[in-house]
Amino acid sequence: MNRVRKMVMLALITSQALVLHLIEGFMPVVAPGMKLGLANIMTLVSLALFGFKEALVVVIVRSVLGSLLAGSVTAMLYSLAGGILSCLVMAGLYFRWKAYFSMMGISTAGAIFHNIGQLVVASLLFGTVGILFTYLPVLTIAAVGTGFFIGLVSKYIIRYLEDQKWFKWERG
Amino acid sequence: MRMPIKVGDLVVYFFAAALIVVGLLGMYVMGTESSDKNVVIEVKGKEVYSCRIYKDMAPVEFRVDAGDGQYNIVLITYEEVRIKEANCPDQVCVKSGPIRFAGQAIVCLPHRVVVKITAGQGETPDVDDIAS
Repeated sequence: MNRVRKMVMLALITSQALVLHLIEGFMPVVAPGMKLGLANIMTLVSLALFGFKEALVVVIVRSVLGSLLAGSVTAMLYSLAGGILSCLVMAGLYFRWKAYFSMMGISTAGAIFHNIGQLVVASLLFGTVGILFTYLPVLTIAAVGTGFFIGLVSKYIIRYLEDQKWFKWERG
Repeated sequence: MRMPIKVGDLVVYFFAAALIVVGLLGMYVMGTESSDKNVVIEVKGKEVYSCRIYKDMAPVEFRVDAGDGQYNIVLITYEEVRIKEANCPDQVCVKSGPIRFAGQAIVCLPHRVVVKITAGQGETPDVDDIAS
């Protein structure tokens, strides 16, 4: 793909991830740290359509800009830690063992590791391991549900985009 | 796209189940056992207040000062511990409601305040603990 076109596509994906990140901020909070992870859709899409490096860039830019627009420095730390860890895990699963995983499985694993990353940073900031234990079960249950849903959404988006004539031609 | 769920997905779900079990076990190990509980309040990882919860205790209202005019008011009674009021932007700590059992915690991320219930004879030995 043409360098400029690739850059434009990535910029579009990043801005969509950013918008999803912000929309998510308006949603009511059931438990602290529990959220849908809508921005993860765009991470998965960029992972599948472009590759690991591009997806990581999307995650980092989205976390930094998202926290600047709505949030705080600590929110940025949580977002970055969770995002980078989940991106690493999802890339590993996607490129190593793609045959054994469906999009839902990869997305669920990503969601779980997003929580783990956030909790590790939270534990470091608070200086206790306690919150890791008290929140991990709740967050993991939530991650299985949201991860499945997010995986399903991204599966259809990826399938749709790959079928597009212009995209095939672009990739060519 | 033949099978909606593949082998690897099951691995992920088992991993999730294992995490839940480990988390619950960790909670169990840290909490429960003895009936007496302590409330510990930490700001930025440093303990600022701790007290024992016992029957017929008078309710305690503790104002946590997190610096820069940030505060959380913690209400401690025998039945439950909750954050009554706070001036943090998200109010998650107030909305998360009361905690009752050892191992539970209320966290206020913006102020970096943790209110947790710990079990057993913690860091505050009491006068009425009779040596056997």
